[in-house]
Amino acid sequence: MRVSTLGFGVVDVPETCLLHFPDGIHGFPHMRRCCLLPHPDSPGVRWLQCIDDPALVFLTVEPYLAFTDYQIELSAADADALGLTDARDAAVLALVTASNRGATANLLAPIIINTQTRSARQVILEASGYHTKHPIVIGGPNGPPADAKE
Amino acid sequence: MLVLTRRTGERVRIGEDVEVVIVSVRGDQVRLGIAAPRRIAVSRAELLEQVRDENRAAARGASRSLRRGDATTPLRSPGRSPLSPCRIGTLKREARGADTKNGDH
Repeated sequence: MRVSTLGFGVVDVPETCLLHFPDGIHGFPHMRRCCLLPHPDSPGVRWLQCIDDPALVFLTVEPYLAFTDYQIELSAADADALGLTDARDAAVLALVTASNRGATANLLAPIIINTQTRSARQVILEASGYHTKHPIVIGGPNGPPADAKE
Repeated sequence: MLVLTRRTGERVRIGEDVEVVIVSVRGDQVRLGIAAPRRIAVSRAELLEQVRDENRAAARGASRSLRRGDATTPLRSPGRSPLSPCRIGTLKREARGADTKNGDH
C-alpha cells in the first residue's frame, strides 16, 4: 500500500510489513497502524512511521546493540495481549528521544512485536530498574556504545 | 471522587472483578494489594505519565531530526531488514507481587 508521510514523502509498504498497535501507545492512542523504515546509515535503527497520521514518526533502535545485557520480563497480561506464547516470536524496539543534548533510549517502555502476527504493543517493565532516558549514540563510527546502561 | 476510610486488611471492590486490599500503612506509605483480571492493566500512575511524556518528546525529536534532513538519503524499502529476535528472559506466567498486583483470578 502507498503511504503518505511528512518526512519521507510517499512510501510503498507491503501489507505484510504493517505493524498493528491495537491499543495505540501511551500519549498516542490513535497510533494503530505503522511501518518500519530502516535508517540508511545505521543498522538496527529504524523510523517507526504511523500510517494514519503522516506527521507522526518515531526513531527506534534495537536495544541489544547498545545495551547488551538488556533483559525483558513480559507480564502475562502483555504476552496475552500480544498473543505471544513463544519468546522466539517476539522482537523488541526501544523508542529514541533525540534532542540537542543527545539521544536517549526508553528501556522502561519498549515496543514488543509479535513477528508472526505483526501485532505490537508498548509495554512498561515495572520494577525492572530501567528508565526512560538511557543515553545512546546513534550513527557514531562504531555504532552505539557497548554498555550504556546505568 | 469517592473517598473512603479503610483499615489495614479491609478491602474495596471495584466493579465485578477488581478488589483492592489495604496491606499495610506506615507513615505516609500505604501498601495496596490489587486483584484484577489479566486484561486490566494495573500501573503506578506516575509511571504511565512518565512514559506518555517521553513518547511525546520522542515524537517531537524525531520530527525535528527529519526536518533537519537526517533522512535525505534514500530509505531502504521496508521489510528488507528482518527484526532480530527479542531476548525475553521469561514470558511471565505468575502475577506480580503484592506491591502492585495481588494475583489473577
